[in-house]
Parts: sequence; structure tokens; C-alpha cells
Amino acid sequence: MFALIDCNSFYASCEKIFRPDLKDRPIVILSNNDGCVIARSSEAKKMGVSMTQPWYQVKDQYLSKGGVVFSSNYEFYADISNRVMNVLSDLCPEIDIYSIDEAFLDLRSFKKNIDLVNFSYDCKRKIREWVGVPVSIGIAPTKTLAKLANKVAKDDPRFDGVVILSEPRVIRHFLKSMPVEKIWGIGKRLTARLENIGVKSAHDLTQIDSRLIGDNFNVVLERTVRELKGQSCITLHDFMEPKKQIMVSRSFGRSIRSKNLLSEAISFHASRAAEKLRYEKQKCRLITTFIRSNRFNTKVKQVYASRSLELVHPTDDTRIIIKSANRILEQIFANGYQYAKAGILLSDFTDSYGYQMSLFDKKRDEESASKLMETIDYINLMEIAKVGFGNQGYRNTWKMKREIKSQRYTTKIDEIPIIK
Amino acid sequence: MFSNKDYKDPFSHKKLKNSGFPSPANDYVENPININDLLIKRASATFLMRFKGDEMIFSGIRNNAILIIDRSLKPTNGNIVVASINGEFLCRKILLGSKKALVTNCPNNKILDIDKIINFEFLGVVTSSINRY
Repeated sequence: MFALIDCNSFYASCEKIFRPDLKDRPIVILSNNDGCVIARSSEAKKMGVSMTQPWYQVKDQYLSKGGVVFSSNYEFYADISNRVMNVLSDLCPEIDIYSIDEAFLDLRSFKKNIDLVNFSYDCKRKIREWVGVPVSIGIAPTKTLAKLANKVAKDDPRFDGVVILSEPRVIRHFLKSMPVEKIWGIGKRLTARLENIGVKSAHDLTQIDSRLIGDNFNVVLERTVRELKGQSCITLHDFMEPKKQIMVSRSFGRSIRSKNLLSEAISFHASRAAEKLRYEKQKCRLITTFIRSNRFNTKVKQVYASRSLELVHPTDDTRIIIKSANRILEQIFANGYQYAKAGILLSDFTDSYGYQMSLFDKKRDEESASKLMETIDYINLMEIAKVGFGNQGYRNTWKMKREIKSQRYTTKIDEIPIIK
Repeated sequence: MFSNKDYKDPFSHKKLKNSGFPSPANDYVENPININDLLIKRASATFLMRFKGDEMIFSGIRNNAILIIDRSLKPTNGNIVVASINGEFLCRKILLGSKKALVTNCPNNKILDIDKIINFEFLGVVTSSINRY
């Protein structure tokens, strides 16, 4: 069995952690440069704000109705995500982090049979109380089914955030009521093609001859059908959706203690991740490095350290990514531990959310600025010299585009919440 | 996020190591005291907040103290806790006897009756506070 744990309206939920005054208020989060809406709380969804809607189109109406808006605060979201994933990895030995707010748990990794209902509510309660974000949980024999179960858990309030599909009879009934476009990896175009041949529900899809699928569609769909039938074939670390982040990590054959060796491994992962990034035609702004001990070796002192670094300008430059990753390592490394795994995560991609929207009239300026910023990032990282501007003027205007950003509550000591 | 390793040890032996002499104490090297280990039991549930005011001075929390808050702990009678009351965070001592209340140790203590607060939500237990001089 697999569980998919998904944080509800993750960015908006993060923003509410330290703002009890915003408990039932609508919240939207804007992309870099505040161009468009990239996340909404359930209250904002009810107000009819859609995903990736340009902010200027909804701004006046939304604010006049009492809506609250934030610029994206990726350092904060990444830290909260880390906390959620850490709680989960303490609860289940095998975890596959799928995105900043979702993770699959491989429940086969438990040695004993566990009570799935108790387990689900325990996960849900701990993440809610300890970290402060609500989650939905779907459990099923395959990842595709778990993803569907999760969707229902999230959308249908009757289930209280947990849907467990274990009985074949229940699964069949469930798939009959599930439109085909809700299935993981089935987009609009594919839905239309399937409807043409009479496939409307997920159950219909499981009834077609697999040869027909092989001949007329692709292997991905064939795999999806097998998954719907309860045959698990998406292994850990298989990604099907366009990437929002890139993770490269590996366990060492033998655990290591030396910072130099860790640095070599991390540089290698960083260059692999940068290659993947360019392959995806993306640029990233947030670079996260993590190192950890072997969780399953109870004889060694456990350690898990991770930290993120935000660049001034998005990059796909291998040299910058390697330097950044190593700079983080300098900060998080400590002597005296046996490290068993190291990795790097690239996120906050710019291409994904219409980055150029506000630039149409200033395109050339922005392009040359972009070159300059990149050079500065690079020089700063090389530590040849700290390069800045005479009065930091330009840099400030650049920053000000994210003016409604919340504090970095958990990663900067000067920005921790104030309390009376 | 906080974890053991996020913390740079204050008693670094770096200088000694680079001095060229092999230290005769090398066989006895131990990890230096790690303040994070001391103050943080469950990193993923631990948050910091800055306290402003004099209300908690008699509990040893001065103006501008950094509070270490563990959200995984259940409060017991007499704990110092953080709760949100009508949309605002408050740090107080919690009484969980026949009457549930938030109080301070101050002479001009205002007792907040928890059952009478409509919008009460418990956040976490304050496990320590750091007063910097």
C-alpha cells in the first residue's frame, strides 16, 4: 500500500501559521514579481480567484472583499516543507518526496501490519499540531490510486481528509464514479481522445484491452491503466508531471565523515541537477543542500541538516549552483557525524509562472539587467569580491517587486514572530 | 530549520588545529557542547519567537527574550505556553486546575479565563527562553 500525503493549499497554509488573525480569511500568493496568482487558500478559491490568474485582473475586487495577498516567500515555504517531510520520515521508513507539499509513503516498508486508519489520523494530527499545516491523506495499493484517493479526501469534506482504498470492491465502485480527467497524468488532450472511444470514467479505462492502449496511446497510459487495476508499477522517484523542482541525491556506499568528500559528492549532484535544469529549460532561484546520517542504523548518532539559499537572479549556471550548494554545506556541516546521504534540490523555477508578464515594455532593460545580476551572483559566489551597486538603488527596486512578502519567520533571527 | 548541525559550535578548536603542533590531546577529542542539542528536542516542531514586554519578567522572561517553543508538547499545569487569543499570540503561564486560565507571576497579574475566550488556540510549550545581555 502507498499513502500520498498532500498539504492543503500549502503556501497559504504556511502564511497562516504565524498569523492567527488570518485564520478564516482568503489568502492568495503571487508569483515572483507579483505577476499572477500561484496559490489560494480555500476561502480565496470560494471567492472565484483562479490559479495563474494575472493579479491586476482580480486585485481591486479581491481586496475590496477583504482578501489578503502575499508575495511568495520561498525560504519560508521550503523550511516548513522540510519540517513536514521530517515528521513524515520519522513516521514511515520509506518516503518519496514528490514536490514541496506532497510525499508518497511506501507502507510496505513497515515490518508489521499497521492499522491504516490510526496511522493516517496520527500523521494528520502530528503535522497539523507540530508544524501547523493541514494535510489530506490518500491510501491505496498503487500510487495512481493513492493520488486519486487523496484528491477525494481533499475535495469531499465528508471524508475528513482521509480516504483509504483497500477492498477491490470499494476500489471498483470508486473508479466508476471517477471521471477520467481526474487521473494522475491524464491531461485535457488525452481525456478528449479517450472520450472519443467511449472512455468516461476511470473504471471504463480499466476495461479496455491493453493491446489497444499499447497500439493507440503510449506506455505511460498503459502503466496508468495497470496502476488503476491495482498493479503497482510506478516505482519510487518516478515523476510524471512537468517538474517544479529537481532533486538529485544518493546514499554513500559507506558513510563518510569528511567535509571534503561530502563537498565532492554535493558538487557532483549539483552539476547533475544543473544539467537536468537546463534540459527542462528552467532556471531556479532556490538551492537546497541536505546531508544526513543513516536513519536505520540506530548505533550511530543521528543527524539531518538542510538549508536553502536564494539567489538574486534565477540561474541554470552549473558553476553558480555548485558554489551555492557548497556554501550551504559550509554552514550545515559538523564534525563527528557519519553521513550516509547527501543531496541537492533546485526549486522556485521562473519559467513555470509566466515570469515575463510584467516585462513587455522593458524587455531589453530587463535582459541586460538579467545578465548583470547573473554576473553579480557569480562574482559574489566566487568570493573574489563583494560586488554591489553604489547605493544599492537598482537592487532595491528589483527587490521591491516582492513588496508584500511575509517575514522569513523560521530562517532569519531578525524576522521571527513577535509575541506579547 | 533547526537541526543539530545548523549550529556552529562556539568553542571551535580550529585555531589549535592549524597551529602545526599535533595536539597531545587528540586521542581524547570529543564533540564540543552543542547548544542546539541542549535546547531543541524535536527540531521539526520547534519555533522561535521574540517576547516583548514586562509581563513575564517574574518568570524569568525579559523584554526581547527569544522563546523556544515546542509544538509537539502537551501543556501541563504551570507550564509557560504560547496560545493565540482572538487572533493574537500571547505567552503566559497556564493553569489547568479546576479553572483553566492564563496568568503571569506579576503583582498586577490579569487572569485570562480560557473558557471565556471564544477564539482560543493552544500553540505550544515554551521550553526555554534566551535573554541576551
